[in-house]
This record gives sequence, C-alpha cells and structure tokens, in this order.
Amino acid sequence: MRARLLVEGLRAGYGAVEVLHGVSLDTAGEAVTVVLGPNGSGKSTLLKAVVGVLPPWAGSVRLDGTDLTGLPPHRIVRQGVTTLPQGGGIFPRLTVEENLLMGAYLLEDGEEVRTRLQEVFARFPILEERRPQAAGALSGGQQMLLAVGRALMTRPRVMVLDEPSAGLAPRLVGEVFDLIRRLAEEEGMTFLLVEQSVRQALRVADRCAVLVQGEVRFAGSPSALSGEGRLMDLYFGRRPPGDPDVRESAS
Amino acid sequence: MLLDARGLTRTFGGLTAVAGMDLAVPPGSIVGLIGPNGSGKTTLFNLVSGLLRPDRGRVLFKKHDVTGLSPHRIARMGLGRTFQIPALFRKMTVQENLWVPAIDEPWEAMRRRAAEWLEFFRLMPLRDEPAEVLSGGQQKVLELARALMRDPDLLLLDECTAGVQPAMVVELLEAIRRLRERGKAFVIIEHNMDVIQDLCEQIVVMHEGHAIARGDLGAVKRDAAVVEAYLGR
Repeated sequence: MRARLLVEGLRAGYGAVEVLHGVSLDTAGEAVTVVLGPNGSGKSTLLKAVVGVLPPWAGSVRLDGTDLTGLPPHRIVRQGVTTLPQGGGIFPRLTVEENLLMGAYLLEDGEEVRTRLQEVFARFPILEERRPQAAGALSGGQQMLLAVGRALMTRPRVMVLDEPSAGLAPRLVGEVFDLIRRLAEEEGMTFLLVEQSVRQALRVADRCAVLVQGEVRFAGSPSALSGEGRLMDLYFGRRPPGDPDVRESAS
Repeated sequence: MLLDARGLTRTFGGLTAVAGMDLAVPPGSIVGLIGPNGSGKTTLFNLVSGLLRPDRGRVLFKKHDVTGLSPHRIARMGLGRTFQIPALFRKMTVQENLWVPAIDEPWEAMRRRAAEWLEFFRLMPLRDEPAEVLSGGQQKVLELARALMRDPDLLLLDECTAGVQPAMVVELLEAIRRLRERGKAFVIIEHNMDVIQDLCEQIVVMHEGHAIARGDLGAVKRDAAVVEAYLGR
C-alpha cells in the first residue's frame, strides 16, 4: 500500500518568527502531492519541518501510523522518507558511484548496497557509464538523475522534493516531472513536492495544496482549481473568512 | 513626478538583473513593486538609491539627474530606504541609531526629531536598549524611523512586513498611511498581497528585470504575462 503522509496543525519558523501558522496536509494515499504558493509563503519551511531539518513548534507529522514529529532527519530517513534539497545537493568532487554510495550510508550490509546500486544503474544507465567521473562534471540533467538515484538508494516510501525543476533547462523540466510520475507508479512511492513551475507540476499531480502567507488556502484535486484564474486569485487574494476550501483542508 | 527612472539596466557578469526598467512615482503616492524571486526588485532599489550604478538609463529625483550619485548624496536630497534584512548599528542604542543619519545637524533639533519618531513608532521605552535586542519586527520599525530622520519625500521599503508578527504588520501599515497623509511617497516591495491591496494606488509587476504589468491588483492578476511569470510556462 502506498505510504500516506499526514501533517496536522503544523507551526514552525525561525527565531521568533512563525512562518507556518498551523498547516495541515494529507497525501491521502495518492501518488503525487504538489504544494504551490508564491514566494515567501512557507513552502520550503514546510518541507524542512516534514523531514526533520527544522523542528516543528506544534502540530504533527505522521507516516501511516508512525509519528515522525520532532524526530531528527536521519531517523525520518530510516522510516522511509527521503528528501532532495533544492538543486539536488550532490557532492561535485566525489565520483558518481561515491555519490550513490553516500545515499546508502545507513545500510551496513555490503551485499544489499551492491544490489541497490545495480538497481539504480538499471534505471539510469547513464550513471553507470559515468560511474568513475566526478559528479560535478555531469550535465545538469545527469546531476538531477544522480540526485534522484542517490535518494533511491534508501528505497524510500516517500520522496520529498524541493523544487526539482529549479535551475534546469526548460527541455529538462518536463522530463523531471515525467520521471516523478514514472517512479510514483512503478515503485509505488509517494511524492510530496514544492514547485514554482506550476503548470508542469499540476500535469503530474494527484493532489495539490496552495500555501499563502503560511496558511493552506486550498487543498484538493488539481481539477478543482478549475483554471488558472482561480489559482491567481488564491495567490493574490486576501484570506476569505470561512473559505470552504480551507475548511476542506482542515477536515 | 517625484521619481522618474527610465531605461535602467544593470548586469552582473552574464546576468542581466534589471533590463530597461521604468519606474515613475508621483508625490505622496504608494507604489507596490511585486514579482517572483529574482525578478530584479531589490536591484532596482539599489540602482535608484545609488548603491549600484546603472549600466544604462537615468534616475531623475525631484527633476534632478541623480544617476550614479553616491547613496548619501541621494539620501540628503530626500530619498530614504530600508533593507530586507534591517541594516542597523546593532551595538548602538535605539536612539543612537536614529541620530546617525542626522549627526551633522544642530544637536537639539536633531534629538528632538529623534524623540518624535520614537514616540510615533512607540519605541520610546526601548530608546536606551541596544538595537540587537529588539525583535525582528521592532528592528524593521526602527529602520523605517531612521530612514525618516532626514525627512525624506520618498521611501523605498524592501519587504518591510516580512517576518513581522501580524499585529505589528497592522501597526506598520497604519504608520505608513499616516506618513502618506504627511505627504510622503513610498515604493514598497512586498509579498503580502493584503498589504499591497490595502496601501497601493498602483502596482508594478517585475519579471526578468523589467515591468510586465502596471495597474491595480485586479487587473495585474489577470494579465497573461503576470500569470506566466507566477505559474511558469
């Protein structure tokens, strides 16, 4: 069964400043959930709080029955939630193979590590071809595959991605989303991602949430957004008291 | 026009941060400057306030050509600004921060004016505290107060409500409205659309270094170029 990530009433911030004012989010057993929202609305902060990089002030993060709230990042990874930071975060001076092995640092069984390495090579043959090269010498698109490949080394049930399309050539943006869709379907993984390439992201999303000023102003199926005028209203609009969409997200 | 910037262009290496940008601000008005991250809003402020010199274009302030003048000279002509991350003298007290921009003025008058702004922004109880102990929101307010010490006609505010608690945002907006009643003009960079809608007569949307739309919020959010800038291709 596909893992379900359930975030409830999440509050988090930096110093004295609260950025997320009680955010709730449910992947609801769907494969791909996209969080949209304008600059500074708290999207990256939400992902950081989910993966444990930023300890939440209040609220909860649950993976199926397991409470992840406040766990350190490495324990959240052990629970099957792997994250890809903005830009992929590969190690440019390490080789392709070394980068992939870094993704398996929690594994002690060498045989298992080799098996997973072969799985990643089978999925992305270009990485096997480039195995001994420094990761920094790869093209932008190959670096992205490497970052995804490294994340796959943990065999995650949930992948949390912060703007997977950022900095990629326009031609590659569509490919990234196609890859996400394929992994979601073939591996049964759950994806939670934040994106600025709204149109591309909505193309592959099963659910979406719109975050504005640290609050969820819409949650539901992308088709319910019914066109881009609605989305721009959410981006540019003030918070309507008792907005039915907000209620839906809270239920 | 109080401010009339035309054709401003500035590149950093191969990146053109501001590309042929025009910005006109009538006296006593509030112009909202919005746009996605990296669209050139803060660079535009730096070009207008003299922190950066434009590669091309002209900045007219009160009908004088101030292009390429140093920031302190433009400030003395009546242009004040604040920064996204408050640039205070952290170890100096709150009132000392206010004295700095007017240190060349007669002592008594200068102190009196500082006291007036401390009252206006309700900072008086904190006047002898080092600036660094203030909350994020109070630091933003102090920076605005400091920018007012030379009695500017135009203030450029860079995300003055970002990271400020909601109750304090309300106070800040009220202060900006009262300052406008005194004839001051503003350009505000802002991501909080409620603030934009409450304050601004005109909104300018920047994308890739230039203005792609101007008008009120209802008009700009329906503009095809704005939709594309915010939602991607």
